[in-house]
Amino acid sequence: MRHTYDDEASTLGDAFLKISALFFVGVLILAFTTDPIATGTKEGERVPLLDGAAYAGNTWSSFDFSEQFDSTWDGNASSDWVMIEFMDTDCPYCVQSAKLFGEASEIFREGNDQWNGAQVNFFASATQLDIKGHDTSRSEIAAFRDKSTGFECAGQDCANRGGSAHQFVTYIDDIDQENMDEWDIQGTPTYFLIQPDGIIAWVSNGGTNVGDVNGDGDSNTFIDAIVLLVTQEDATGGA
Amino acid sequence: MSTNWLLLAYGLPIVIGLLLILPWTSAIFFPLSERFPSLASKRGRLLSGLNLTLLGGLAVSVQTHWIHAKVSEGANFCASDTIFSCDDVIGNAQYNTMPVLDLPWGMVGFVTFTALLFLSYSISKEPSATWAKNFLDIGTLVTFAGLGVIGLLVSYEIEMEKLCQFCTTAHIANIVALAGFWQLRSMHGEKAWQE
Repeated sequence: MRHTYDDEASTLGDAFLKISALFFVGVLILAFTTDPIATGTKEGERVPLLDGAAYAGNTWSSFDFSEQFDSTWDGNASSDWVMIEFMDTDCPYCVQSAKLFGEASEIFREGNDQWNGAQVNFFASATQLDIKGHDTSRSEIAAFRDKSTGFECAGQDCANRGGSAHQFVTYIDDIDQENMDEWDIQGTPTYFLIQPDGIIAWVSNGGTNVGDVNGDGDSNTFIDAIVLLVTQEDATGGA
Repeated sequence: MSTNWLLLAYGLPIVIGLLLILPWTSAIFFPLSERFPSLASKRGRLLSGLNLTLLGGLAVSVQTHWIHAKVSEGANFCASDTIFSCDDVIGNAQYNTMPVLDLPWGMVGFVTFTALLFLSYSISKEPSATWAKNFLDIGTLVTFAGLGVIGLLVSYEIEMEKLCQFCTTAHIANIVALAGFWQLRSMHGEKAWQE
């Protein structure tokens, strides 16, 4: 039997093997020397960007979410955590939870004798859901935050929502839903507790203020999440 | 290891590759042709330069992907307050992945340079093969398309007012490779190709 040897095919096969080997060496170097953390909105992932102007009681100004985080955080209690609520000022559930959210923003602060843990900075990303009657504006978002009159929040004057003015909550304009899309928000309100290094520690179930903190199957509120997860001086909490 | 030394290590094969590819500098390697016979012909010098350049591009792309992974872990590699800060560029979640496919740019470079090196290395092993012209066409097309990607990435850097040295090295490797593929493509079928 006569064999025909194809030089060209042999060259291609030889080159393919050698270059493939080089490629896999590169892959192995990456695999053995790195442990990348994906950017996303699940627990354990690094938070995506949060764009938009921010309102903390004075004027709407530019906002850089990345300034909230310190990627070199070593677990100490002196670095700030972040709690963020995705909400709509015309969403009845968001109006209902406004009282608790405001109270939490006053409690989990450095210098509060009732709390011995790291400070938690509170943010609310205010969107406008595609539902009839949910029209909003920066003025309405400011009225919701400050409990000022003249704007309607879920069928009532914003000044009549529960709780006091959210003096420790920074509101972010997400009327164009850009942040909602980026964070894959399925409903409002949705809450995220974020570690000082920008890794998500806890997420509530979409459209609710509860979620499982420790994997025991029980529903926990965002307050439970803060108490159980945020670093405390006596080390009872922590991620 | 200092990032400057690393840059030098990646830049050296690309610079040698460039010198081999440029028509007015390639002759300086002629005295080495006794030790490396392939350098005796213009085609050999071009292919050697192309292989070296693509190898440098591949290595620096692996490095940029490594930086991408390290930055995601929270580590610092080359963060700086100066304009040269690859951590700030590669770590910018808004720009550090390819649109639609969502692949890190370092990985895109890694795969592309590997494929280009396969084309170049195959041609250098069998220059008279029937597929050599097709490989040259593909190499030229891919590196030419790379100019668009480079333009996009440089526009990101301008917007960030930061420059990633490692990314720039990979961009230069692509441009040098385009020059190499272009010349080889022009030469193919001519008398000089057979010499």
